[in-house]
Amino acid sequence: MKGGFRQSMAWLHTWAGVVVGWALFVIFATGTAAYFQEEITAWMQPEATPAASPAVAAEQARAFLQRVAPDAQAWYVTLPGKRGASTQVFWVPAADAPPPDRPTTAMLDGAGREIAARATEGGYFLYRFHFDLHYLPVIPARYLVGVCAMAMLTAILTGVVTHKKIFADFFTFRLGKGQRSWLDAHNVAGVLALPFYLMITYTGLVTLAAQYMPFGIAAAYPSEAAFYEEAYPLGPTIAPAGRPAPAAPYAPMFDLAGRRWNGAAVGFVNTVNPGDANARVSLVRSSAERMASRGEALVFDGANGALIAPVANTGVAAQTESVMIGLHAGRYAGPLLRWLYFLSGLAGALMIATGLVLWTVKRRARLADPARPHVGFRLVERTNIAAIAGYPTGLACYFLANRLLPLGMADRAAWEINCLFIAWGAVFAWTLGRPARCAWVESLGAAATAFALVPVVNALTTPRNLAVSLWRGDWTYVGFELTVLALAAGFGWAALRAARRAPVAAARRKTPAERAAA
Amino acid sequence: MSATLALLLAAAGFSALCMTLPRHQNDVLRRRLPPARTMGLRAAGFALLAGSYLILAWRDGFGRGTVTWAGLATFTAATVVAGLMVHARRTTASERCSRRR
Amino acid sequence: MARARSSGWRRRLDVAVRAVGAIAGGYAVTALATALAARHLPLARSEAVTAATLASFPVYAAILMAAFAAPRTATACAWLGGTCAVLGAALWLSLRLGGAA
Repeated sequence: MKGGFRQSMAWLHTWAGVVVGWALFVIFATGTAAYFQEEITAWMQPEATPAASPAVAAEQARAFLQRVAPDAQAWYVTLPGKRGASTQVFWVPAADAPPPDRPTTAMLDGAGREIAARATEGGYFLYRFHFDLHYLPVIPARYLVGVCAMAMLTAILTGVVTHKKIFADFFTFRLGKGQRSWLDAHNVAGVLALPFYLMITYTGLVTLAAQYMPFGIAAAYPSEAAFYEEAYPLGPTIAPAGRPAPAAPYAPMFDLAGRRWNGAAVGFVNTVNPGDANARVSLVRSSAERMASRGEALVFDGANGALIAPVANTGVAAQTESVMIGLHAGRYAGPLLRWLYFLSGLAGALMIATGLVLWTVKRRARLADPARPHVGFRLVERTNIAAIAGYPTGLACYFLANRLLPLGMADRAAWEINCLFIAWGAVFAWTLGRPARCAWVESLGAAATAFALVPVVNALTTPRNLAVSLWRGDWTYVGFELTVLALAAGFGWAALRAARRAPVAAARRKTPAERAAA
Repeated sequence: MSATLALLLAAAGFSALCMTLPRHQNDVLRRRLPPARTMGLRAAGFALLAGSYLILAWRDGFGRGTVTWAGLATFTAATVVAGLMVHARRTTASERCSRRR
Repeated sequence: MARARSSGWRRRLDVAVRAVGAIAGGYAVTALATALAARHLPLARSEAVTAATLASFPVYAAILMAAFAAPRTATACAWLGGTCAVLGAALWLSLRLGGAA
């Protein structure tokens, strides 16, 4: 484009950022929250209690499944880990079975009983929203998210090219200087976590690469299934023999896995043809232990407990992809690294937010009459507020709804989610009728208030309030509520600053003396 | 433990590197440092960051160590920025006080 | 970029054409290149597919940036169209000679 390389890259950076900025903010925010999805789910189910050792949990799950789904084709068990307190089971009914009269999933507590916890999607909703959005069919939603991710990758690369003084301005953040301050904030937020943004955007695209770039598979294989068979062989699928056989105990299988994997934990227990002579039990290595996300599996004969030869793909490209997906999901991360992921994600949300605000600030300076902007500008400004202050208010209301909605309500989990969107929509609708600065102050204030209310409402509706959690050393609950309070404080500070800010004087040009001193 | 040490080294490293930049030399030290001193600070800063990285690589292996170090670097650099902001606010406040006298 | 307010609509059209060309044309070029690489990289078949797919995203980003950096829209579109044609022909040949997927 005319004006040189850097200028055209600056143009591309601005437009790639602005077009997807609102969606990207929400995608970033939900992804950041998803790093603690299991903790969020634990907070949203205060009735759930922690579980026993993995082998015992697997036996309890088997006993439950034997009672509830003895004729299923396959049982899938997700074992409790360091972060999740309960056992998840899921089964595939037999092909000729009548439609099930209950959901084919269950959550079990430490005694192997189905948890009668409140119906909620918990943190899992935030994780799924991150790439599936909501109220949309899944495939189009993932394409939308993919477009946003590709635009983000472009914005990051063009941002680096455009930022002339990336080292000189590395630590520069001058408050109270209007447009310059917004640019400083955007630059600092962008540069300090730059490796994270590059990694997270690229690996995010990789997690859904088969949908975004299917042409490699299509050109080399007759079908996608053929590719997966060759790349990730599961071993031959085995039909049921039709003869019932007692199930071999899990404990020796777990011992063998522990010895083979140097003590690493088992994450999943999958059983094909349960109770049959041709039952196969797969122990899949927990993804909490290594970066590579496709867990190794050991397959055992389900009737006599003998180990069947393991298969794994060890190609370099496949391993690289596995590590990339592992890096994005961060399931391997311990507590310190997980918090660092979370803080970097927050920095990303701040980078996007400051970028959006910077764009409106710059555009306002160029308007014919800054005091009375045209309707397009007003709409953009309100949408900024809706994304940056409205979505967090919605999220806080999601947590509040979890405590306030009646326990026996029909579709309770869906209604918690609806509350998020209702609150979000309400903030947007409110801002439409307000002058811009009031809209900012009020919606930031709403977000601060809603977050601050979360521990209060929790204390009023459950016995697990912050004081009790501190006393018991229940760090999941403490961490959740302190983070929510920190968010409330952050939004409150932003609201106060927005209220205090005087109309900005145009930045004057530096005198030659000032320029020499810099 | 080792993570805390890595954090402190990174914070010290970024503080040193910050002081090699003219703008921050002017703001914090009220003068420009001679080039030899600046180069020395730069070397020290990078050495401290390298030390921080090696501690994490030793603790977690090179793969996880690198990822953890990148996250830690973001966090500590941000605290240095925050420190500069606090310093700037205190300096302007005291300047305003002394001007009023 | 020169801000020629007087030819507003012409500039917008130019930008629109370049954007469509870069986004759609760039995607087409990337898709064709990925398909060719998946078939011809000197690796095991599934490895070649994975490697080609992994590389496709930075390639697409680079193509987008190059398409917007080109001084004239016509040049950018010509390059994109030409590359599509060449890669398309190569892929067609590869499918004819090497056997369909």
